[in-house]
Amino acid sequence: MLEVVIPDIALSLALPEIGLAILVCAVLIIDLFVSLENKSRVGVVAFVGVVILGLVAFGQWGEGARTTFSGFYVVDNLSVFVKVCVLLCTAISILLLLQYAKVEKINYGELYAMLLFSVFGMLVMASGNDLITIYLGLETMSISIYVLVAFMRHDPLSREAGLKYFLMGAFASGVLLYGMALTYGFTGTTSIRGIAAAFSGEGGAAIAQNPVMIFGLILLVAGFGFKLALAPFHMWLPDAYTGAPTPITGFMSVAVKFATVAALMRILFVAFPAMADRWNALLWALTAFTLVWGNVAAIAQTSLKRMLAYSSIGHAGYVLMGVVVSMTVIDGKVTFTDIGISAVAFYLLAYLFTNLGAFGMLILVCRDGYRGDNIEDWKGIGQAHPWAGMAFVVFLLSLGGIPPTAGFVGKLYLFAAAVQTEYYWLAAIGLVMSAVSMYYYGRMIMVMYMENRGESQEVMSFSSAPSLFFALVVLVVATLLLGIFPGSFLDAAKGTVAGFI
Amino acid sequence: MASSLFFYFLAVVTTVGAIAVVAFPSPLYSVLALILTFLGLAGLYLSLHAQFVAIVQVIIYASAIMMLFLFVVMLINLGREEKRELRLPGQKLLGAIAGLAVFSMLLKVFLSTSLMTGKKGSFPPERVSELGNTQIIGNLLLTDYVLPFQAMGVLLFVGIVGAVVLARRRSR
Repeated sequence: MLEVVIPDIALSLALPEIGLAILVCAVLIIDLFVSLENKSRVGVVAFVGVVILGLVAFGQWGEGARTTFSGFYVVDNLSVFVKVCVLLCTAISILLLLQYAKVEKINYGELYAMLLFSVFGMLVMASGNDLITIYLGLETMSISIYVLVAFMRHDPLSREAGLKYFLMGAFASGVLLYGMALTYGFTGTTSIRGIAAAFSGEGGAAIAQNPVMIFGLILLVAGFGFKLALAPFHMWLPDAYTGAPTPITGFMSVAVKFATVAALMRILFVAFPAMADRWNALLWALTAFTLVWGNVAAIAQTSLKRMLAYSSIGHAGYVLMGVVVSMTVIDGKVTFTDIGISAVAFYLLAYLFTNLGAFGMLILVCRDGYRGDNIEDWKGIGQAHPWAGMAFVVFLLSLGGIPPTAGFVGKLYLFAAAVQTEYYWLAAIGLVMSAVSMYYYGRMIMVMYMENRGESQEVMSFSSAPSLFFALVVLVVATLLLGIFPGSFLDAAKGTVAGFI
Repeated sequence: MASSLFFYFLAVVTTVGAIAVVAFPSPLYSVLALILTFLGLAGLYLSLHAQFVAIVQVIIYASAIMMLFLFVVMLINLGREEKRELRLPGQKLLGAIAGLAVFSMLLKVFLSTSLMTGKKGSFPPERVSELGNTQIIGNLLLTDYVLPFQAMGVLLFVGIVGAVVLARRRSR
């Protein structure tokens, strides 16, 4: 007879996830009682819930690493940081969605429910301390986002985007799972700490040298590379980002990066330090390729949304650069440096406000059947709508990394980390590509301020929805705040390292 | 010897089934081929002493889910796959070359290593056959694996809601 031992479970640690699961169910039920014209109320419920859960998650900050659910779940500063940022990103995305959903006639309760489902997956990923938990979180996140991308079913572009993303994503999940299966086969465990123990234990050195294990590691990195859209795994991204509803594009470009990078760092830094030389070389090459590809391909785009999509590939490269420079080999010994990890955290935070803002500007001009997607449409906006023009300039400068914006501090910190850990080549590529990116961000500013409106040009009108206005004001202020007074945010980014490795 | 013969037989059945899924032009045949693959997998689970998983594989995957698949395929009356012009010339050839390159690399990697025997876990086959598969799985799912178990529940829920969102008719 098998004895049943109930493990100690500290449910309070998983409060954000539990709360979110309850919130999704509540949203789905409330949706039934709200008439079709008033679906925005469902969004407001989701918004309030997400803000409260963000505060709950914030309360877990700085209490060290604690695991529960038999080691499947961990709360440390990194996971709390990611959770708070993902929930913040969600709250802002809901504000952006409220107006957009009405204009595009996709204002259904399920829109908000699917968004919250994907956030549930992200939170589980951030706290996943086991390959199984991380995989389940990743799948929950991905499946909800496939649906969100295809949510505008009346639009063939959106349907195509959803299908493409789904097929590529399903393939990527298979690749990732194969990598995890091989890891399990060699180490006999799926637990992150257990894998590390298997590598450092007896016979661990032989496992780390085994070609099949190396192959498994490559598959793991490739699987995450697909989700992060690193070149050469980025093929799906331009179409998926362009076809998706714009607030969803902004949401997935930021929140998916947060969750995936957190899980990737946890797996590579904690479980695979024994193979650090291998994954580091692999990530180095991916970073360089992604930086060059994303930024160079963005130059040729005539659609604003597509340009931002390519630029998000480039930014994934910068984030990954931070992951690479977190590790150095000193005297043949692998060491992790805090500065790289905190650079990743700060860069992602800066990217959250900046990129959501840039997509927010696109949402601002959306009206029935018109999306302002063409760069040419923005001619002369600087004179016609000075405030909106200024806001867009702030976001574009921040994306390009020009002071006094968040993007500048993020890049500065990142390059400083790269130089300090002697990754000179990577820093050089990053700098050059930063200059290249200023070409296409700068061109957008040129179009808005230096070119006169054409005769036949569509007249742009800016939406005056209060939710959208509020979100954009918050985003502009945050982007400037992070650029001018980065101190306390940098401290928070540095704090993510505590108790992680 | 007998068990390795069993393994090779099942491996061939599973792989042939999987290839047939993509090779058949008619979706109906693809679904039937997928059943073959699932049955092969069930056999592999059996050979690994995981009787419960094998039976579940047959009952749920090979029967229930595949039945639904067949229903859907027949309901929406999918015809044969249409031949389409590929956008890039020589795409098929390039794909085949890339596929072969990856396959040969895989082959080289797997042939160059001898497989290692890992440490025994807390439930080796002897203990499993003594206690019974179902009991152990049930126990683990509700104790140590309770978080993945619940997360899996949410994942399935997402699938259901997502399918309804994408498929239902909207009144506007």
